[in-house]
Amino acid sequence: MGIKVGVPAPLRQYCDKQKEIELEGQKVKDILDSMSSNYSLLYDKICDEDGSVRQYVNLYVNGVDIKKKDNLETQVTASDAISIIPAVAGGRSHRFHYIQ
Amino acid sequence: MDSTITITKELLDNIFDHCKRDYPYECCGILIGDFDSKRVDRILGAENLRKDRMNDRYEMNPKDLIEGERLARELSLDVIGYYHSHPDHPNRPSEYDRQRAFAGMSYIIVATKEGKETDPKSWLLSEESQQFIEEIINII
Repeated sequence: MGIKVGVPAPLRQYCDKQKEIELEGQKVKDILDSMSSNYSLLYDKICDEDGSVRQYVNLYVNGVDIKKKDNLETQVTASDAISIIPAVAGGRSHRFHYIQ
Repeated sequence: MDSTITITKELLDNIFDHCKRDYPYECCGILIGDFDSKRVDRILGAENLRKDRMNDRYEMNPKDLIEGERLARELSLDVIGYYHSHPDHPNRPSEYDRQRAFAGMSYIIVATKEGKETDPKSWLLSEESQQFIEEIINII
């Protein structure tokens, strides 16, 4: 039995349009390893080259940020659900971004 | 191809009310709807955690982001983007916005002049170029 991982809408193009995928593992890092094997393009959007979760992506286990648990060492079981949720921040600036 | 986001006048007015209510501070919220057609069906106001610089920064409370995901799932919809205000500032994204944007999500920015006049624009970060592209706002 795999662990359910909810995928944000813009990233579903990298996992056959699935809203939720099931991945095997006992820790969050195992889940990411499984993602790397099964959905490598999705993995690339979540993690950078050294395997760290990207700065503006957060992973939650049952609604709790893994940074408040044991990060990638956080244990998961079949009844748990992992959510991938972008960090959302910004604000006005005197320096505008160049727009196409 | 031009990208268009569709939203009812009522929901857009609700966003404007939020922007005016929080003026002179930046407000923020979540757009919930159908991702493929880019139609907004619900909005969810969120808490701005940047209490130190609320006049020119926002950071959405993760609890609200999780609630947005939960609500979207309950309604068989998706989180399709976010909104925030630029008090007394143009509705163009800043470099600070771009660095923190998530490709594929829509970002409605509302210029809020003196807490009274509101002027929205919607932006989409291109996956390929990592540049913002303006979206057409189709108000129904």
